[in-house]
Amino acid sequence: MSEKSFKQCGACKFEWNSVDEFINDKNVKVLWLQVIPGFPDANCIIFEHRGCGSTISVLSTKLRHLLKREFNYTEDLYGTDECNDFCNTRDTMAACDKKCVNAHDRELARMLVSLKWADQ
Amino acid sequence: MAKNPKILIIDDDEDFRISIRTLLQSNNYDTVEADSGKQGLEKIKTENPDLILLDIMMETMEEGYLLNQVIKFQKQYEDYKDVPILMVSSIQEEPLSRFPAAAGQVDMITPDYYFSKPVDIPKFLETIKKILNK
Repeated sequence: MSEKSFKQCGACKFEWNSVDEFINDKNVKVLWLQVIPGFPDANCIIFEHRGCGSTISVLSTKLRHLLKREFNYTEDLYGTDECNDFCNTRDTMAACDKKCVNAHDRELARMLVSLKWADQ
Repeated sequence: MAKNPKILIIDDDEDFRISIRTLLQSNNYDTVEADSGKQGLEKIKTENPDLILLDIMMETMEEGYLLNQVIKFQKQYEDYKDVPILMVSSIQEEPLSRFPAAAGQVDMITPDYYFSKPVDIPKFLETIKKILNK
């Protein structure tokens, strides 16, 4: 992968030079969010590269600037009794009302799904 | 003091390796990593892991399956054939169903364990715990 490249597909070696190029590529489909309990900066958004079918993960820290809405929650509710368990499955992309540290990344994933909806 | 179990993560996606490494290390597992199947085969011998987490699609579509095959059946990896392999991929259907031709041609074996990305973390950690306590 060249130094200036944002991401490279591991399978077909296609390179995206910037976040915008990656996000706006119709061949990039959002799969969902991977939450890492207790370590929100290790959360990642998982994409599929259509065509070659490979998976591409991007740490959510690299994409958070795309969501303008502010979240200031600090408590990690993932996996606790309070958790709606929505982040754990691709089955529901509904909004979550919990004041959880992962709320920003969840909304980011939902925003990306909406953004890419027309491409699906 | 007892040593932490060692898990080899074979995945060509650095960001996913960072996520999984963070998860595993925070749960008291030691991790080593390989960014390709070839490097993975080298690290199996040099690191002697207790468990292998294996991506399916890397340089080729079915690289993970081929690696699984090599580790389980090739003589030079005989000492490692009992190391459990947990495949992690975005493929949501039954493992191998996406590669029926390849499976039929070379009589590939199914992985010991399989998880879809995004991984269900509680189930994932529970499975790893069970595997390593066997």
